[in-house]
Amino acid sequence: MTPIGVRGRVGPRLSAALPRATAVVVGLGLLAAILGLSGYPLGTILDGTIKGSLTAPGAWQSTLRWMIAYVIIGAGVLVTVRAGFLNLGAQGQFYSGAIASVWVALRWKSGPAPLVIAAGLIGGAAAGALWSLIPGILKVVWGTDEVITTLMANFLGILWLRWVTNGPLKNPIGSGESTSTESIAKQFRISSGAGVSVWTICAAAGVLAATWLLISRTRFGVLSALTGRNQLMASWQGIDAKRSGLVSFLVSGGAAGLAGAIEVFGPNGRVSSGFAPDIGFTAILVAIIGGLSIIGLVIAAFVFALLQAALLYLPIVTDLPPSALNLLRGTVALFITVGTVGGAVRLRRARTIASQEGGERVSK
Amino acid sequence: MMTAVAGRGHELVPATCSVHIKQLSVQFGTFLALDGVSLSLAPGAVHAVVGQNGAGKTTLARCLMGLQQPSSGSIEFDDEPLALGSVKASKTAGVEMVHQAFSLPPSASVAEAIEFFHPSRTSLRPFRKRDLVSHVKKQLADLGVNIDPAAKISSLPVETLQSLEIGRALISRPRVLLLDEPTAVLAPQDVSALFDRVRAIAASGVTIIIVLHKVQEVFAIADTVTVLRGGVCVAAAQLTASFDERSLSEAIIGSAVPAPSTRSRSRGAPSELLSLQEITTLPKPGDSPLRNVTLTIFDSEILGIAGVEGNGQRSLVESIVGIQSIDSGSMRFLGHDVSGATVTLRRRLGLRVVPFDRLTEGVSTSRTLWENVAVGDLATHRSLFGLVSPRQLRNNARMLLDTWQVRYRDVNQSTGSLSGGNVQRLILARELAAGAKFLVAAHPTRGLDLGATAFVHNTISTLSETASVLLVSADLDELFALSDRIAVLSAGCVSGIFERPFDVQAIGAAMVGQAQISDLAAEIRSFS
Amino acid sequence: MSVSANDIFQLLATTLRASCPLILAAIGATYAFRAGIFHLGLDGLMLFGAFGAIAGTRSTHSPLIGVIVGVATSVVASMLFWLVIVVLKADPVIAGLGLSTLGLGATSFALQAIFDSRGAIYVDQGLWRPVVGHPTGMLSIVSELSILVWATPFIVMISWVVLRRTLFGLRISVVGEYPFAARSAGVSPAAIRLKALLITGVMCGLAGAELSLGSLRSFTENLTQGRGFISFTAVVFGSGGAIASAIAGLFFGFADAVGIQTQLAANGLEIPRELVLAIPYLLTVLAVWYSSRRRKQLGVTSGGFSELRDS
Repeated sequence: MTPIGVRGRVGPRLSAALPRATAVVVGLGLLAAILGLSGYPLGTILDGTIKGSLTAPGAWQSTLRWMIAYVIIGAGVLVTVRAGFLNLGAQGQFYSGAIASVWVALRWKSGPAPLVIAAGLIGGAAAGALWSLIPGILKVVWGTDEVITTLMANFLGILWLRWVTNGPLKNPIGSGESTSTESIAKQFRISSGAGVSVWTICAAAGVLAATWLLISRTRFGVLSALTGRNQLMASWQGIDAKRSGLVSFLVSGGAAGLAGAIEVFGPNGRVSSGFAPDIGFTAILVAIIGGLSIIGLVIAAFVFALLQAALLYLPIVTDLPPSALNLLRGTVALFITVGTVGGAVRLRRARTIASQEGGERVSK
Repeated sequence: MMTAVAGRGHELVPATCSVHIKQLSVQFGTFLALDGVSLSLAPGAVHAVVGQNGAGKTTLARCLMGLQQPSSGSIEFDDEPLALGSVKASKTAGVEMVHQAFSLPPSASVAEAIEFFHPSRTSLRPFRKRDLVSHVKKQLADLGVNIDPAAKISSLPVETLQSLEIGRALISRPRVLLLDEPTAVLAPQDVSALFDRVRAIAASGVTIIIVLHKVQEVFAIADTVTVLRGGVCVAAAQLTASFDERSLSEAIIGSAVPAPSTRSRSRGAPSELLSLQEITTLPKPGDSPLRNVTLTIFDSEILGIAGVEGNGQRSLVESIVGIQSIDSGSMRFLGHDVSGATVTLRRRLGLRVVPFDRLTEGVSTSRTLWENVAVGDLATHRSLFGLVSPRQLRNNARMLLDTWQVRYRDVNQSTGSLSGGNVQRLILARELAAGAKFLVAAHPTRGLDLGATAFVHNTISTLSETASVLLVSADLDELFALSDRIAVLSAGCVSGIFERPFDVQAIGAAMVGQAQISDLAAEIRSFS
Repeated sequence: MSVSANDIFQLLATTLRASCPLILAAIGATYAFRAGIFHLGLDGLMLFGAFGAIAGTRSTHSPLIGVIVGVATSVVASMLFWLVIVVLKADPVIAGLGLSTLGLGATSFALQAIFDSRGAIYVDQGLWRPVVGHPTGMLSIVSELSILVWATPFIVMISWVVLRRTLFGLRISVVGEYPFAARSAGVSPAAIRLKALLITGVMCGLAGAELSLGSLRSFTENLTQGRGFISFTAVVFGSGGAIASAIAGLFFGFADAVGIQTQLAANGLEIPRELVLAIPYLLTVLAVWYSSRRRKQLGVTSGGFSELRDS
């Protein structure tokens, strides 16, 4: 490629990423200011962050462990948002994947490990995809608002998980308070409790590669991006928006479900009620902060994984509460989409007269 | 004309008001919607503003209402300068506007809508529905409007809505009443009722500014006429009597003399490319449905579609493209029955489109140039998961854009950053890249500058050597210069098909639906 | 096993207590919803309100001042939300989720930073309870309920009047439904949305204060446990009507109470609590599906997350 081409490609991308990076930096700065003003030793915290996420024993594994999860779920979110759907259902899809895979592993305790693992991972992805398909069908067939349906699906997922860990798959040995399943057999685990192994890394890399292939090397990738931004233009071009919409919902659910299955077969070995409660939202943020590109996704996932890992370590050096990360997540989410809406607040009702607002613009 | 009888007790408000517009300009991005318009309108008269679509009529009205902030210029009412860009200021000055698309909230009741515009109480003092209904009923009755105030806006038919919209505007006893294309939504028999009403309002001393589309209507109602063309005022409040229909049409269109025929080809035995048989479509907002339209387009032909906006042009184009399904009738394209075929299938057969609104229907402005070019080919494939090479797609796009002389920086730039003419070139480049047998071009030059317009004209006329074109345009000059035949749409019907040489009078008559079928037949016969 | 009268009284009392914050927040969200804003930040506002109420009470020993502090905190957060979505034009859904997360993070952090506590902080005085001391019998239904629970029906009715029977309510609806009409009437959509969100802030502050000062007299991390989202669900279910949303909130509170009761009683009726709690969400999905289906039949199309929606 010519140097001009390179400059042409990188330049706009960098400048487009700037506002999003700014939101993250401002969030971090604000967090530091709040911590400083509250009397926390910033130096110690910075030191602890680096130790906890990179240099302390097991720290980088911890970072990588979260990064794997964010990258996999975020890749799915990226595909749907790119196709024009604000899919908030990652958490529920993640849970349904985890439940399906733990069910496979607990029902088929004596099976050969490779088969059980494969069945568990595939089952998890399928369960996540199905969980996501329902809002997807409602959206493309009837136009039912996906924001509401995926949000509801999350709450249903949370309740389902609570029920599963409380009833059918409840660990009988646990105390009355414990709400988790039994652990799956040792030979089924694809990583230790740290969550990092060749297999989990390969899974994340595989999902990234597949997503990259899908969005930048297939017709679906080009067409769904156009449809996502302008459905009217897509219909004049004859693009089948229903089909590409369903595909994107399936992909997103499948990825989140797979991440759930990996949690079960990898670091967790079981599911417990309400585990990893922020993972879905973080993955959505990571996808958006990354500007819906693969490289951006990886970078954003790394930043948030680093903070997550550090947060588990920080209490050792200071009494910083884990909620500090929510402070950051919240600030970033508040500001990350600034300027993206062309003026109108999301409309309550769809209207026949919607076009009239744009009448002047269209007629000129 | 100046001194009006204050009819129903508007003694408190000076009933007459003159309007002075000075050097008013409005700019949208690079597009100059109004270019230094200056006007002086006498009080208590009916002033028509006419012009083609996009000439700036609505923009001018919106400036007066305060809905549009002008880039420069000033407006005075009776020598009182108006604070621009504020609806409140305009209302205080006594201006009201009847919007073409109405400004009534659909899910409110009539009473609520009127209360919304003309509060009878402070914002937190509760009302009783019954009181509100009777209050509004009285207000409307005073104005001679007879509508049930408890009815829901969304349940009202369009004539009633307009009558209500006018009533809504009159309640505050305005000194200046703006009507934005009020006839566009009405059936012909309702137009005369509207005009009676407008005349009565003017007689009570209100200065009326009415945006119109049809030449005949100007003569039916207006005392003076202002003609806008491309944002420029070509006739400023001249007495209507100083025009006749022909000279007014000339002023609107630019020149009523058809350009010398740039095309004269002798066709051999023409073979049918597309034929529509008795096509009828279901009604949709903003356009007449098609009613029993039968049309044939031959090989290597440019068929022009003329007509007043909203007479079925969109329905025609959308049903040919396959976006709108047809209710009855059949369509054959290159020997295939395509009556129920998908857009993709038709495109595979060689149909190409330049849509009405290039920025919303033609391209995705936030995506890159190469994606917008590539979609033309990619969308016709059956499988979603076929692999593509973005590098090749970019190179392709680069090649095409260069061939079509699109001025761009880089194929990765967003399409919204191109100028209108270049977007249109991009669309043409995409649509005509390969396999085009039939191009449907809807207002392909609207809003383009002269250079870009000439380019589009050349493209279409060159294309017609190898393919056919359906050219929908509001610009008669353009149609006359390019078309082999012109079909006129009126109220969803084909009201005439004309051959060269074209007669502007006959076509104009067919457009406004005045021509008798027998006359047309005679005229057509006389041409052949 | 038989169900005694006292069980039913208990169930009703639990329903009232559980639904009060849901209804208050839902009423608040109704104003936003009618003004055209999907408000997913309710949970954050409630947390701000709950925390402010406890913090205010602890430092002044006056529950009244506590409530005022709680409401003020929530209102400030609500103004921030307005700034972000109306002035800075951020996506309301993502920003709303951000507000909820911010509320969670900020209150937990403040709990630690100000009160040096990871667990709960308590206050000795709660909100005034008009009827106390009836552990059994008819009166046990309303016994120990805070003044805010008593006030809730009135707040609902007043809100209905404001939204449906005043010019202000009319303006909110028109701004949400057809901003062009508002602009042509000289009404600024941004200003109306500011007022609507202000009320949302007040209501969510009250909801939070009821949670912390009314029933529990304490604040713990994530006190709301997602109640704000349930309130949002109630508003969607009630499609923006004040009374419908309040009834939906009451029903959601009832589902919660039944869930608690089935868990406590375990009297042979093997209904999993989660299933009962799932009913509201399932019904809401059905409701939005039904209304979108009807819109589709009427030929109304809704925009996507796209360029077109922007215009």
